[in-house]
Amino acid sequence: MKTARILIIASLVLLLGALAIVPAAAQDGMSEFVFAHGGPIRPMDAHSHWYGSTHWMLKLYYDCLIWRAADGDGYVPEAAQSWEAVNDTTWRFHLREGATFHNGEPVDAAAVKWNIDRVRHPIGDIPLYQQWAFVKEVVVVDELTVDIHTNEPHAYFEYDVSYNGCELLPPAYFEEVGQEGFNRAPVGSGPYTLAEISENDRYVFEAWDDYHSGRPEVDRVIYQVIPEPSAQVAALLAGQVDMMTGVPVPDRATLEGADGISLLSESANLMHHLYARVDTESGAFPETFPDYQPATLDHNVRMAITHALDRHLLAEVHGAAQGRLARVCSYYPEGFADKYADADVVADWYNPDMAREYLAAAGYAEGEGPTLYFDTDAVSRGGSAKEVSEVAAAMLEDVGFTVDLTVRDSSAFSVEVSRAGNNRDLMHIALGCGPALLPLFYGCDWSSVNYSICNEEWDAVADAIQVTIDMDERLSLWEQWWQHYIDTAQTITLYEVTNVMALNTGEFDFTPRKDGWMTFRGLKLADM
Amino acid sequence: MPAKSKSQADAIAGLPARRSPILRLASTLVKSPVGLAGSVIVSAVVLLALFGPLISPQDAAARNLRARFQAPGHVDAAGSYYSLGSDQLGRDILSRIIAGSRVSVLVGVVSVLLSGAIGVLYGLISGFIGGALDAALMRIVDGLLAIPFIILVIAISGVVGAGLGTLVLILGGTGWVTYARVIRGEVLKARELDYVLAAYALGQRRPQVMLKHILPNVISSAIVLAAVQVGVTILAESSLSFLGLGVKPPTVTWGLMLSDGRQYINSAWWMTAFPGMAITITVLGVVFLGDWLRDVLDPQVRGRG
Amino acid sequence: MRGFFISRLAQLVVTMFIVSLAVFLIVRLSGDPILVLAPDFFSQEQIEEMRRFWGFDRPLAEQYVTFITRAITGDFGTSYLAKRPAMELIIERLGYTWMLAAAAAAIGVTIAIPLGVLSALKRNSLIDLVITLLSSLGTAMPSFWLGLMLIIIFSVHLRMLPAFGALEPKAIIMPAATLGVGMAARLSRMTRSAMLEVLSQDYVRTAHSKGLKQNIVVLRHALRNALIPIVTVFGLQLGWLLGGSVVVESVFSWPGLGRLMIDSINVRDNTVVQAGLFWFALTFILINYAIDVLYILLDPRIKFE
Repeated sequence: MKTARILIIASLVLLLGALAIVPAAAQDGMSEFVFAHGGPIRPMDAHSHWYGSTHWMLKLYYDCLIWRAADGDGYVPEAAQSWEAVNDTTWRFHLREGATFHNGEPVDAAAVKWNIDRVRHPIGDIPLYQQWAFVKEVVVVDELTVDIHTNEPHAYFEYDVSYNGCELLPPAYFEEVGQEGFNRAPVGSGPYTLAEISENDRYVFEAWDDYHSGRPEVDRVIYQVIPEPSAQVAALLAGQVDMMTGVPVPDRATLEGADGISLLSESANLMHHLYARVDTESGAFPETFPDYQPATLDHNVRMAITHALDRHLLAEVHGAAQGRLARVCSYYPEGFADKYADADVVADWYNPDMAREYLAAAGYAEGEGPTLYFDTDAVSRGGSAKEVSEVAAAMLEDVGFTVDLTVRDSSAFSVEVSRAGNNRDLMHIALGCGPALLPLFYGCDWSSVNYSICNEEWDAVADAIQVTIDMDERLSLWEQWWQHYIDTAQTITLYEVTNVMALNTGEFDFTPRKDGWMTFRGLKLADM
Repeated sequence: MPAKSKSQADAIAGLPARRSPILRLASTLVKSPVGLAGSVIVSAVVLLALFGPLISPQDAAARNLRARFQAPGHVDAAGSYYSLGSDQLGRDILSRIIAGSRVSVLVGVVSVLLSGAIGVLYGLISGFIGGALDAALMRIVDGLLAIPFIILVIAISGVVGAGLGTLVLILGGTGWVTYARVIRGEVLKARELDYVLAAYALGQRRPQVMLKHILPNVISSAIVLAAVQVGVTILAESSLSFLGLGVKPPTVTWGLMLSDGRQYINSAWWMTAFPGMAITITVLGVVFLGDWLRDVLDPQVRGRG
Repeated sequence: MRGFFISRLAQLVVTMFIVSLAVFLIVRLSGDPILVLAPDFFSQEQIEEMRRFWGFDRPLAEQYVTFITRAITGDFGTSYLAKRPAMELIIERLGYTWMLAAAAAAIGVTIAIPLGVLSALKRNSLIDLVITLLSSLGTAMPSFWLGLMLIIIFSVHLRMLPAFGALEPKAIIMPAATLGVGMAARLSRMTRSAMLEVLSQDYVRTAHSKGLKQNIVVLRHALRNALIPIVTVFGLQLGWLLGGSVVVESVFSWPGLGRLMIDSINVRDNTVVQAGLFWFALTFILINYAIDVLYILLDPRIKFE
């Protein structure tokens, strides 16, 4: 009897003990904003990766020299108070007097030079240095003045200098603790300091009193990792989080009807495409499929594919997207290529008869098109890819293709197909749409595991775009570039993803950024 | 439990049964409500798996974008009836549950046969030969048993990659450890039985003794364990598919349906509720059948989760 | 008795050695581990350099020796994703998993023992039938599905409990209940059969004939003896509990070791997967060792083989 009683008492103690250890939520009267992040969150060393959704968070913590304005109109000062082009290839930045990192280290010209020199060299797993290859030299003029010299006139200088790798890290501290130590206890110079990290789970940021442009309005911003969108919705309804992105289709009505919650939408600056294989050399393809001749090598077959797809319907299947023909998002510093975003142009492009004609031109009898091996991941960035691919496969079968669709989970898809370069005829892929980097991706210097698409003429146009400062001239170059993109039909663009967000508007006021970044420097408390 | 000890005694003594064993089993089955319920459920699921397409109300893969996320009982414009509702592509949940039974049955049966075969052989050899080999083989079993089954399977499928065939191999290739341990224990007991010793005395050779006299003695434990393992395996398959590490679409499985349903849990409960019920009922049938088999055949056997 | 503890401890060390070997080999099942680590744009030369850096160019046996020597000192290498020591990440999460497992085990034991005893005492009654059915149901139900159903009811509809995380004390209720129910179902089945066995033994009948009131007989004599098999089963079911925690943590976004494992598997962060497997096994083994010790405390008459 005694032992049984002891056992039961012990289990009750265990239970109560377990309840007691769970931390209670802070109730200290400070304003606290919790953002539900789908994860995973990558390391705090901002230069070591370019995972956008981690950079959303890092942007609270780090300043850049300058940054894209939230409304998409130009650039705003951060660490640099002002900046100007000295000549075609030199830009001068004036830093703020007395500005420091969170640990007191000065944000001076030497620190800026250290950072830009760092990102110009390979770090980690990404070719960030290629993006920064436009920089020739960084010169410290005096303590608060720094010049960036470019190799050639650079049309997208401000865009690039405020893009991946722009975050300023404290040189002395970083060199003292090393990358591992830095990831454990990072230091930045942005408006928020980091109060607590639970790796890939919860990141608590607190407003920094000494920020050069004033203490931010919301005291505490928390990025809480909740991988499942459905759990995010439930958490939002329960008041555990204040905001989420990528609201699932059937939940929109529920959230819209909930007290104090509103839906916002803005381009996610993300697009879904199909990659068609146009060569047999790139990636692991030649080793994995030595004897396979992809049907998509034939330009007519690719044209048949692009005309067989009803992009508006695919966008509807996705649930929050706009059909597009080119890899160009609605937010662009210059707003070019509207032509390929026009709803009617996109609708007209869908032409099953023309698709059948292209198949006939490729030598296939009516209804006896080639087999397409089609790879997709279950859930891609920016929403479900699986359902879209299933419907796309049905559209292709309608015009006479036979489709062999393989769905993998995201990590397997990445490791086995997209990263390895094992894509066969088609694969579904989610990609960003920055203007400056885009031509680089299709350039002859760029090594892609998924396609080899080098075209000297096209590449020359891309190079010309980069160095053409005159806007009109540049736009006409873009026209040529896009025409080739569409004609090649290697990257078959489907749609631009719209980010449907839900916000606790009872307590907070947030205007979505045009660039799709979920960062909360500008977050305000709602007017009561 | 007199009935149990009698049949047990028959089995252990290895006496020739007066009636055929199948008839004898059938007669105890009729007397056991649990066994009866279990066998009805299990045969129903097996029949669904075999003849599903014939009775399925709709094509399990047929999409209907105009009937997405419809609640149970919805009738669309064309008159199709969605008795258990529809999913995110407007596919009929009931038809998909029927289609999904196939994978559960396949994975349950094939991987259990595989793991049973490996495990029985391993246990037989370990227990029969004994000595240092037995000690070494059992330490390996201890080591593998120390990693919880589902975690082991998750890790392996994560590393190796997923797919129906791979999954069956992984579940079969890891599930044998339980059999090995149990069978080895049974072999140790059987080794000392009089008639086994007598067989040696009559000059039978070791492999012959092992296969002819020891194996039949331990096989009932293996059968009971197999019944338990079928349930464990079906649950493991659904967990893996749910986590995205198991079978891949467009193959329909209950675990995958749950994984889809989870994404829409706030608005479309039927996408989650019904496939889960299908798993529960199926495994319940297997559990009942296992309980009954244990009463009839056996011995002390415990499975692990 | 000390000899027993020492020999069990030695066995434990051997088991952990086997575990480490299994853990080491599992992540190599995928073939070349470097292909997972190397970014797309690396040249063959850079890949070779990386291979040397991680030591993948050495013979497998040598790699294992390096792995185990480092693992003993708690160094499992650097997480590929977090760029921090894998061990640090594990320690951050370990407390949450232990907490969840403890709460679930407590729920399991508190429900299972009274129900199991009751079921055995009222054998073949309606209560027994109901309890047996419920426990079979609890065994058959996929734990993650139960978790999803609880979310639909308590978070989505009633908005009583949080659907994710460990941010407030009441957040543990649903995940712990989800696991606890499965645990209780398994334990109560065992408690019932252990009680039945003990109740039929002579000394219980003797005590009964001495005129002791029935409930005292039952509790003092029978339960005490039944506890031994129950505790053993508890130790074995702990494997189920730890395995279940992996899936349930993923359902409730509970920031424990299980979710870390799934996240790491999804991004092929193999160092963390290895460290996690190792820790799960260590937890399992240590608790079973503790149970062996508890055995002796519960029943001093136990003999050592």
